[in-house]
Amino acid sequence: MTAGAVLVLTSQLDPTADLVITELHRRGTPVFRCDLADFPQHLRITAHFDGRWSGHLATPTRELRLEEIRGAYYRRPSRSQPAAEMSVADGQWAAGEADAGFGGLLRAIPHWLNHPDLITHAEYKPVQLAAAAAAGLSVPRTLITNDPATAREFVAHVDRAVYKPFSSPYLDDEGTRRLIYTTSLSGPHEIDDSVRHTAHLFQEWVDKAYEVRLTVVDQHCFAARLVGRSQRAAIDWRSDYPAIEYGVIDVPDQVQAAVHRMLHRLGLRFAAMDFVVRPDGEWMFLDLNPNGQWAWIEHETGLPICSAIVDALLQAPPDAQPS
Amino acid sequence: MPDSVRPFGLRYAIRPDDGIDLDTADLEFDDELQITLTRHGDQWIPLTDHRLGLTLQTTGTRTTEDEIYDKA
Repeated sequence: MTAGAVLVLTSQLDPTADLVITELHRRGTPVFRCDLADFPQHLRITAHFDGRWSGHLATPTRELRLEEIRGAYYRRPSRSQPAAEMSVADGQWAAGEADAGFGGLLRAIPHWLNHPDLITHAEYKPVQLAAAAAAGLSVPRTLITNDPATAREFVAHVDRAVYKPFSSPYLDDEGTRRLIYTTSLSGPHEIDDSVRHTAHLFQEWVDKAYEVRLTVVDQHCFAARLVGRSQRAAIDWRSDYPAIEYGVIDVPDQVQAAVHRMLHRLGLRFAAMDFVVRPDGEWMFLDLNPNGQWAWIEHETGLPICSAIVDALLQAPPDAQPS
Repeated sequence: MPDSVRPFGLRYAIRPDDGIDLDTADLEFDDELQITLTRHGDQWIPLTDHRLGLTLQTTGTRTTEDEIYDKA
């Protein structure tokens, strides 16, 4: 593979990564697509350190020299898979070694969009809210607790409150997959002692004129206005995609500046951010996904996000070396 | 799980009504193009050119399962 290739670390089925790869190919850029799950069964790594890392990643049909990586796109890869024939204990140890060895080597590659460790860090909601406020963004009052009395007090104190999960909205409920969206609470009486069983996040409801999905790629901001035309979508638009009305809007200068401060603080080059715009026009930060979906926004609005991502992946100098 | 030990937040878990069935027999990874193709009549076209591609871009994927749910 020639110099200046782009590594795309993603699962085999990811149409969003497909869009980026198609655009890279259109620009004549060599691409090496692989997944953590390919390792070690279908992916071979060899890396030597002699003042710097050199070596290659290889699948049965293609090879990528580490020193030729121009940019790297971390796009929701799966986990590495030890051989199925291993015992559970051996498999766990092998998976740990794969994470530390292969994963460590990947972390030494420069020019990630985004670096995997920074994605992990930025996915923590408490980190996001603090970073947003420190950067000058407005943030709703929020409570994290496992104390029912404190939760009831918070919900009673604000005009209206919502509950939202911290991380994955998925629940595998005895074979039935369910989702947990942002949910509006009817009042403090809804809170019971089951709050004790884990950490819970309660947040002040913010009246909205509309919501904004702001996709940021380096210095470029792509803002889509989302109006939920159903009761469910008005609370959490993810719960009712067909009811969303899309548009394109400008981002106020002060919000844009604060967003860039926040992402700089978090070390992110890409982010999918959610805002509520209040009836008085104030933007309030709700959430940030450092590896969020963006392709459907481009489809609905025409905002050129894919092209910006490819630009970003190609910005690094072709002779960039793993550190 | 007994309700007495079920975390509060789980009471709001719902089954989404716009999940789709994904027939993996209609998908094929093209190693040369490094993208997924899907069956469209008697042709194979890039998944991103198919309406299913847009759905997957919107919802995210669970590649080990046959159903896909919302995930923004």
